[in-house]
Amino acid sequence: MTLFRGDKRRLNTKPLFLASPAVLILLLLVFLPLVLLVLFSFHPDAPDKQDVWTLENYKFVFINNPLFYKVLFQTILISLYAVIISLLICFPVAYYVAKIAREENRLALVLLILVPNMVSGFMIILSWLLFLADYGVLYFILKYLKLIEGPLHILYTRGAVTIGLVYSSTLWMFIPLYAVLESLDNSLIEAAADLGASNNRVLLRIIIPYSKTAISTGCILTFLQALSSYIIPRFLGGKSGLMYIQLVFDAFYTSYNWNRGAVLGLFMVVIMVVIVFIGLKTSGTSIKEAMEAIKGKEGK
Amino acid sequence: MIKIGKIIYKIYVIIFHIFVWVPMLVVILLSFNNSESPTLPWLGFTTRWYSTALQNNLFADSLIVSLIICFGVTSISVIVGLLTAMAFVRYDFPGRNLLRISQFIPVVLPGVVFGISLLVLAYNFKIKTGYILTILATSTWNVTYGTLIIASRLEKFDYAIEEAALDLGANNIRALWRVTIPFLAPAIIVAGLYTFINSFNDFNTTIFVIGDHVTFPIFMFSNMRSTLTPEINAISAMLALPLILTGLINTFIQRKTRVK
Repeated sequence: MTLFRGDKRRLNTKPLFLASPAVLILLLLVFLPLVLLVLFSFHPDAPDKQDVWTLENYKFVFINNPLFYKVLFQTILISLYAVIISLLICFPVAYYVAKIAREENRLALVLLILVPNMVSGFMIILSWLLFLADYGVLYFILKYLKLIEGPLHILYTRGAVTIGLVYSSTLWMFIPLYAVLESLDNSLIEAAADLGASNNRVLLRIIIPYSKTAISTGCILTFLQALSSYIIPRFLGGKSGLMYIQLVFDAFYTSYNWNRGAVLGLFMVVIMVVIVFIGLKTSGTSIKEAMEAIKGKEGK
Repeated sequence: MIKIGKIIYKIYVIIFHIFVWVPMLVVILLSFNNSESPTLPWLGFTTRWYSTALQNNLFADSLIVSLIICFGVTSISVIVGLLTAMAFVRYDFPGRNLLRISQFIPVVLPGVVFGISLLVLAYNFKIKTGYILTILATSTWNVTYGTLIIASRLEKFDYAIEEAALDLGANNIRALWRVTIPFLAPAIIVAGLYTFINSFNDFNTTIFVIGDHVTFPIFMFSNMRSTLTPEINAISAMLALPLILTGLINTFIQRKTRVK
């Protein structure tokens, strides 16, 4: 009848035509490269032997490489710290902005948090670099307050990476939490309080169960963000804060070990799938609910 | 007792909001410091690092490269996003859910892993790295953003308006152009600005597929690897303002045009 109202019972070619650019982009630029990366990981690390099939790269990465497990463990540890700290910091703020702050102030408070995330990631890292350096801004502040004598030793440690990750994940944690808390009906909290529930009980029995999906979505997003961030550990971590993604990056960018790098990159995808799976399972969230929560972020 | 708790809670929220701004203020403050390196102590106010920055040709060149890529990515993301959103909202077709979920893959795939997979693609098919590959690569996840933003507005479109236009004798294209597109305009602008900022800031994927060109993030990357001077602060500060303004405009358009 009209241009876009398709008869849902009959196969319509129009939607296929409309969706075809997106499908093409995904097939040619996402799926094909990933398949090639898988094939590439089974070839030896020599340009003239790209028709030989081998498991050498896997052996090298998983067996002959003690650094691999050390960095993997450290990466998961740092990312977990970042997720937990970020959740503990953001949840009270999200609750305050969504429920306690006056309605006319809410937008301003949300914007105050969103705005610093709009600038280039390099600016954020530059600032933490200058702030945490041995003789940086924090050092001068603390010295002025007569709290320390010698130089700081925060930069180029795991701690510095964690700080950088927590900072840059604020947005991913805050927005899903804020969106869900804003939708929580105040009368539910009031009713519970009227019936004699203590503040803690209201928090544990109403607020947290209600925002469960947002909490798990925020945590998963923050975790993925922590795993995939390259420049934060690169500039804040030094040698002692090495993260897994740097191994992947360096294999391609610095040491030209492409085939081994492919193994490292693919394993990273496996880790991420496992983490998303664990995150969704432990919190009982479905992929659809998580996707709705992310969409809440885009819609804001 | 409860009152003290409330005050502490409020102070905590205030400190959080300040904490979020500290990094940016540090960078901007030190860009005015009359010192050879971007640190304290304060040696007096100067704007000389801004004039050095403005005379830096590498900085200007990197901006041009980045802008070219941004325009490419934004156009692709908005157009393909619009088409995909129409397919999603208005039709049920085989593979619809599969496509919906697949669109999230480039969003969650780490930029570095995506970058190396494209490098392998380029290597296998002897594709030249450079502008075109970078624009296409960065478009993959931005198309998803475009689709999501435009689809969420299209879902609220009142079909009666389009039908009225058709009843009044408008043909399909005309109804689309005069009724549907104007309704979607805010979402199209928001999607455009959002993908523009997003592609401007990308480093992880771009570094692998851009070849010898230097985008702004790559310029920052190589500068931060050498000795730091307040010039890099001045450059960051100058770019922060337009990015923040774009982001704010974007948020206000979304707020103003929200359909209940």
